[in-house]
Amino acid sequence: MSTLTRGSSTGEACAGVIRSGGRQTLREILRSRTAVLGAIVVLLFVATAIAGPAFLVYDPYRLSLAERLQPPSPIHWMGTDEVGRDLLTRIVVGARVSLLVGFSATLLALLSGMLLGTIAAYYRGYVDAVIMRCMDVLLAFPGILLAITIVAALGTSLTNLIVAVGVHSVPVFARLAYGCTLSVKEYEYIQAARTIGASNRAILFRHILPNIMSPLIVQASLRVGTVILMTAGLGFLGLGVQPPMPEWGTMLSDARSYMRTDPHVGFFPGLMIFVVVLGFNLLGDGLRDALDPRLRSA
Amino acid sequence: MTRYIMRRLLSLIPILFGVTLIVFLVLKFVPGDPAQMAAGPDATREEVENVRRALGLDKPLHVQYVTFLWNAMHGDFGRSLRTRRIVLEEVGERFPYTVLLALAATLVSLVVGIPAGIISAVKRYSIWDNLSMVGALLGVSLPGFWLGLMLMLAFSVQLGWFPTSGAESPRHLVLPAVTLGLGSAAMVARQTRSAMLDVLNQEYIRTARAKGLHEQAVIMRHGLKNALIPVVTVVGLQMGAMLAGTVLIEMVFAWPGIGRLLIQSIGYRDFPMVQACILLLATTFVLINLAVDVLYVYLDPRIKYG
Repeated sequence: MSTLTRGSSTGEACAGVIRSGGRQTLREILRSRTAVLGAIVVLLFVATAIAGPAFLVYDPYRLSLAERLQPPSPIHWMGTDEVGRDLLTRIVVGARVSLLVGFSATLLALLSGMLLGTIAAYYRGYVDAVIMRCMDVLLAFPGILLAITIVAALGTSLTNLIVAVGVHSVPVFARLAYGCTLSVKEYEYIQAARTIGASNRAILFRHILPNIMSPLIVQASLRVGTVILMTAGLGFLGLGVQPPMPEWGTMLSDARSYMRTDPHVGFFPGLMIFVVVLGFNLLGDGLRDALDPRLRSA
Repeated sequence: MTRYIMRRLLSLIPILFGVTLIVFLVLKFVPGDPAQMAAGPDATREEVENVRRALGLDKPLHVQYVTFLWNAMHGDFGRSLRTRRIVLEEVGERFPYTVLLALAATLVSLVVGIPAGIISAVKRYSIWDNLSMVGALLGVSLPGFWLGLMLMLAFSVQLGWFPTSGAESPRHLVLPAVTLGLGSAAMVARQTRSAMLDVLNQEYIRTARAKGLHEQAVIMRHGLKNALIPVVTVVGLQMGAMLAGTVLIEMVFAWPGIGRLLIQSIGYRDFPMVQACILLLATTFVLINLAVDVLYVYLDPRIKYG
């Protein structure tokens, strides 16, 4: 798709979102069943990640070969893995890793993309050309490929994983911030701020950024799901969080050899990835529908 | 039109230049001495230095990049550090498998996504619409690698209908293509629904109905035909995105494509192979996106060549 088409579509999306605000927005969000359902799922996972480990009976790292590959039972609700570790315990601890990477990488991408896109659209000229062509280059790597390239070079660690998955999402936010800034900077209050002598930095940080935040936040809520899916994908390929740290994708990858006889070992980690990504997608979809008047009227 | 295509082709040059620069630079960060890796673990110091000179690794970084770019443009990525075979030969053997998988998955996404989108739009707010859209939402949230394993358990291990892995017969293609295609079908269904809803509100649809045309003819001949333009774009973009999706699915089903070769090569630290695989996948992705842009302009005469 051409740059022009993308730019204009994001511009339109911004115009829609920017008009909504405050209490009216919250009412619209709460009225959206999709957003509320998504928010409940996400909150459940966040609560599990934060408080869950305090309620756990088993040690997520303790091996017990006598109890290996046990099916779900009242003692081990989700069964045990190939070295006898309680699956539920590892899934709860794994929620921490997945959500930590999901939120950190999205925040990294949101902040970098927002700054780059806003600066490019505000200053235009060479700055615009250089920044946005760099974003085009990053977009030339399909899906998970850029993250694979970065992890292949930097090696596998939690920090590198956050950087790899975060960098992949930077152009998404940069393009959105770019489109939004282009439309916002033509508004009269920006012209007025310029006329009374406000500095470029003041205009950018005090007047433009606060006004383009809502579409970026909607995009971020949609992006967390993608980021978690990608993190699990890298884990599945052996390029994510390394064992014995529990991460859902890595757990699924480890389970592959035992899936024929003990499918529960791979079923539950995959199910968790699915449900949490679904939760974020529902929340993002609901937020977008609630905040975009064009979709509402349709 | 020709001028538009030429301009779009020219705009690809800086992008591909950037892609090669990233692939070149990123792999320079890899810890360890590439000359030592190429020479092998038992090589003497002198042998390592000879390899370093032979590979041009003793030259300044910018000279190395220009050499890399020149060689890449000629399809010369050297030899695999693992198999010692010429990289391009090995990549050339694997690439058709990836293309076949992506094409078959695209077919699945069309066969599932377009009818689901049409039914949703025509029977708006009905149970079918809700089912299709819930299915689409589930489809975009499902981890493909997990879905693949579950399909393999059900249809290969339990029912024995399809083989679990490999690429020896068309039956081997079914499960990987369905796994990869279903996620994309969700996007196609959403796009078809929204495009059909736009089209069905147009005046010419009302005219067609007023003329007394059969509803099926109105939907298929007047509705779908015009709604397909944005759908083509989504299908094209999805096909490009599938190139990356194949990496995961090829690992699940041991499909001998370029994605599996890439992951295996990362495991063996076979960096000439890694560079070739990444460059080929990214270049194909960029070219598919260009083709989609051109096709879009060709299909919709209202769009200017600007």
